[in-house]
Amino acid sequence: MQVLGFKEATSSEVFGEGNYKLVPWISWDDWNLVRESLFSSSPASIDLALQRISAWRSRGCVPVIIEVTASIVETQQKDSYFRDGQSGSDLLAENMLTMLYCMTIMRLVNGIVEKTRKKNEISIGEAADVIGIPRMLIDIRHECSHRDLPSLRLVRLASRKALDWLKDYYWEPQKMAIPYPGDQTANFGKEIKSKIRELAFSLDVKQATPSDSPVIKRKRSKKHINKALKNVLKLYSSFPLEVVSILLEFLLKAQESADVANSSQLDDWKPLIIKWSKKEPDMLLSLLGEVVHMIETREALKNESGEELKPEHKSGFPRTEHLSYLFKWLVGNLKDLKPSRRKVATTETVNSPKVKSLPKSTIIHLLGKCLTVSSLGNNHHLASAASVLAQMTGNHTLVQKLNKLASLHASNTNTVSEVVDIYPDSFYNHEEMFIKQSAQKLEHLKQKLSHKSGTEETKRRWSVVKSWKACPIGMLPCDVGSLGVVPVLDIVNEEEEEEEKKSCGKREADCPLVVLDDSNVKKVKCCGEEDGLFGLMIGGLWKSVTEDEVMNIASAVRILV
Amino acid sequence: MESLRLHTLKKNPKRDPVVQFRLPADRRLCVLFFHKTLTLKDTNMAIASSLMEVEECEAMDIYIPEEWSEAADVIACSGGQTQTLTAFICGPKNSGKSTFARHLLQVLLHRHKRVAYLDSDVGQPEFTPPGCLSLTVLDRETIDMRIQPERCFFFGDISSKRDPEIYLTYIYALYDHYIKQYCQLPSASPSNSGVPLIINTSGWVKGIGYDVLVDMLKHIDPSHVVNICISAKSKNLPSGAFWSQDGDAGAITLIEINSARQDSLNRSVLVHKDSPHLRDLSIVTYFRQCFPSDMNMRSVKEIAQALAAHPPYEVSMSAVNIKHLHCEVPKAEIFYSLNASIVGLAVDPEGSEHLPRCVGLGIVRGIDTLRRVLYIITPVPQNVLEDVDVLLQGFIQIPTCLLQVHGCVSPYMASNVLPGI
Repeated sequence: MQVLGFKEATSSEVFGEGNYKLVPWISWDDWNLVRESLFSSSPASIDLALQRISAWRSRGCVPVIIEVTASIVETQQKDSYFRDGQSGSDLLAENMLTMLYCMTIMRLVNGIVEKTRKKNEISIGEAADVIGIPRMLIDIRHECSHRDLPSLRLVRLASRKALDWLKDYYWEPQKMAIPYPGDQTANFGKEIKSKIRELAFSLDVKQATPSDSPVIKRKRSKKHINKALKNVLKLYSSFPLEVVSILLEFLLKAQESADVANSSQLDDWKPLIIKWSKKEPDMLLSLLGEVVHMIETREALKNESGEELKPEHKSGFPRTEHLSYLFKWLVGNLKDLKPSRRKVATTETVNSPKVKSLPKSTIIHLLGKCLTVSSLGNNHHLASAASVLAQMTGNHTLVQKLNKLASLHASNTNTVSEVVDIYPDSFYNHEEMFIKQSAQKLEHLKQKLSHKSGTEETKRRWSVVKSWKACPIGMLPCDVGSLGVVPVLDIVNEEEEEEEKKSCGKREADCPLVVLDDSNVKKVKCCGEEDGLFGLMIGGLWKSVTEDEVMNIASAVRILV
Repeated sequence: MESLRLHTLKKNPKRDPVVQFRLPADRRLCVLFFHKTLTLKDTNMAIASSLMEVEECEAMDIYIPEEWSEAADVIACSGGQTQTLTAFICGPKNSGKSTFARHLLQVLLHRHKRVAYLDSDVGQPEFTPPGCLSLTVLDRETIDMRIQPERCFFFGDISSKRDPEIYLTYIYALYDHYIKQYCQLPSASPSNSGVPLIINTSGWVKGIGYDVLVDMLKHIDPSHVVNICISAKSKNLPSGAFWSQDGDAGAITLIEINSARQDSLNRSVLVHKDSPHLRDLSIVTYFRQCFPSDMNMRSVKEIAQALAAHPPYEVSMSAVNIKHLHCEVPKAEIFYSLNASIVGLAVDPEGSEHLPRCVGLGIVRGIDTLRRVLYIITPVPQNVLEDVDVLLQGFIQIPTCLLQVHGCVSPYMASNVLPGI
């Protein structure tokens, strides 16, 4: 063992950085949900809030003020006065209620006043006055600790007053102080925009300077670029999502102002993208992820309404064509970036594993997404982008398959055009994509199977995760981009799952695609593995299949492709 | 019935004005070094030289007054044939219990091959991260090796007040384990006989803490009790055999000594220690072991950064039991409670009367409810981990420095919290 960290002299220096505070809730949404449910009139949602607060309590860092609020509400739930219509074993006897109310009020006064009072300079009463705690609560605290137990009617009244005060003192002001995502983008949006613009401008200037200009000027501009780049990078590290979306806005604007065919406007941005990505390769990937996501959303919208959205800008969404072109363009940039990064990797052996391992899984993920999306529209931009991506993964069979697919697509559109004209002409393309994907997935499954049967050794309970991306503690790593994702912490219930399946099935039935589709592999969206059984998404439903079934499906697919 | 009183202080032990003990992480540091060296003087040099490299270097001589060395010698020499040597060290906060215990350990290791150390100071233990109660056996050869406790329980809080009963159960179980392994089987394993035991206690000597201490003393029945006193009399434990009803110490040798550091008026100079900071540091040091020791990581920040990127262990939710030691968590809320918290990794015992044995701590760094797996960071090696089937949750707070890595701030670190709440 080594000695560590003794550089840090004071605790505040190391541990109290910024205005961050350790809280038991995972997000302000979580907090807000509890706030709303706690003060709602429905006993069921109040119960939900109380349960969540008891989970917070078990984490050990709940503010007293929340604990006290929960205790008052919980006691009121046991009081017939606040729960008329409720009778029976849930309710408590009068003197029990009185004691609970008294204890909570005592904890409220002592716990909250103690925080505001410095040492013992002033009395509890005076300190309570300063923060406006109702006098009644102070009296009850005194009364029940030193004299008789107050009457139930009094403490009931006090509990109501206490709740009102707690709302005024904490819950409402805190709600107002929450940074809403919208606000944040508005606040930082301007800054991000200006910084990106600055960088773009400085790069433009450099390009514009003729080669015979004085060296000094060049140097200065270089300095300027570096500074601007640093600013942007700094912003990116703290608000990656916002920065990416704003950059995307810029790019789309640049592209729209020009024609689709004319890419000169977009190419102006190339140096910026390249410079940036060299420093932060993640950025380009996040950008790509975002574009695919936008295409996906757009296509989903289109499918749902069942028709093309006529005016392009009505929904505020850029056209799929634009997006796909942008995607292709960005992939081109990514490709340009790669060799240079490799050069770096050979010289800097320390950093190389980190940099190298990062993109591969992400690229494959992007490719997958790109394929799913491109199947929905006839999209040669995305198809070519996909093949570039495939080449980048260095997987030759993948490239070949993609080529085959493209030729299949071409022949299909020629021969069966009369069948297709009822449906979106992308239909066959769509089907091929799915079958191809299914083939890939099944191959993967088969590999897993053979691997499993080959090494049937004792299954290990604990295993180190094979690939992992850095992400904050309490979050899960994200496929695309540098930030993690906030996990869903609700326990997945069996019944809920059933319901989900039903609704999922209904939605599938509405879709015209399924009606025609009579192959026994409809949609193999995803595969999991659990206890020797495999879960397959077939026709929108999760089904468990045995190994033999998987093999059967696999062979069927091979014939098709 | 012999009561040694060494604190009469007729002669003032020579006191060096430079003597200081102001190191922020004194405990941790000394733990790291004391077993490497044979004398305390060397220890000081080791600490000093290690700190030369870091920015701030304070004077940090560990001062052992004559009174203390005499007491330690008395204990060491009293090697009775009748009873195994058991030294119970108690006293108020910051009186130097751990320092004395370490000194005694050094002295005993000169005479004995191995020495057992029962640590009941659950807030700032010597050989384990906070929240653990452990029995550790040390020998002269354990140089440069990670000391693994012989037996460890996860109490899950930094003070016994949360549950004094279970706290005592753990302590008794550790002591009984020591008796069974090192005192009752002289014929089976002669090497195990004659292993003296040092018991260190927490500084909570008033109220419930006092009751707990008395219960411990009654159960353990040590051969020596060392009561360290400070000048503020009201904070001390009572003098004499406070644990027995008639004030008779019986066969127990009671040694009362003064705290090491006193000013010119014989007042104890107490070191103000930032205990939460020390605890955080201790936890960070523990998780530092996830990485090879030759990896260059000097600051807490670097370790936090590395931990955020460290590939965790993956374990299926169905393979482990999740249990909160001190409160009831609604079933549906388990993961809200568990995410980003520190857990004790324990092995469920076969028999019902046995207690879950703890093999180390882990950080639940992420939960995937869809894949039904937990991601856990721990320095515990995989072969040991394989037996772990219980995750014990307690109130050991995860250090906030691990949650606010640059560019990787945990969702549990919220900004915009109203001030003063």
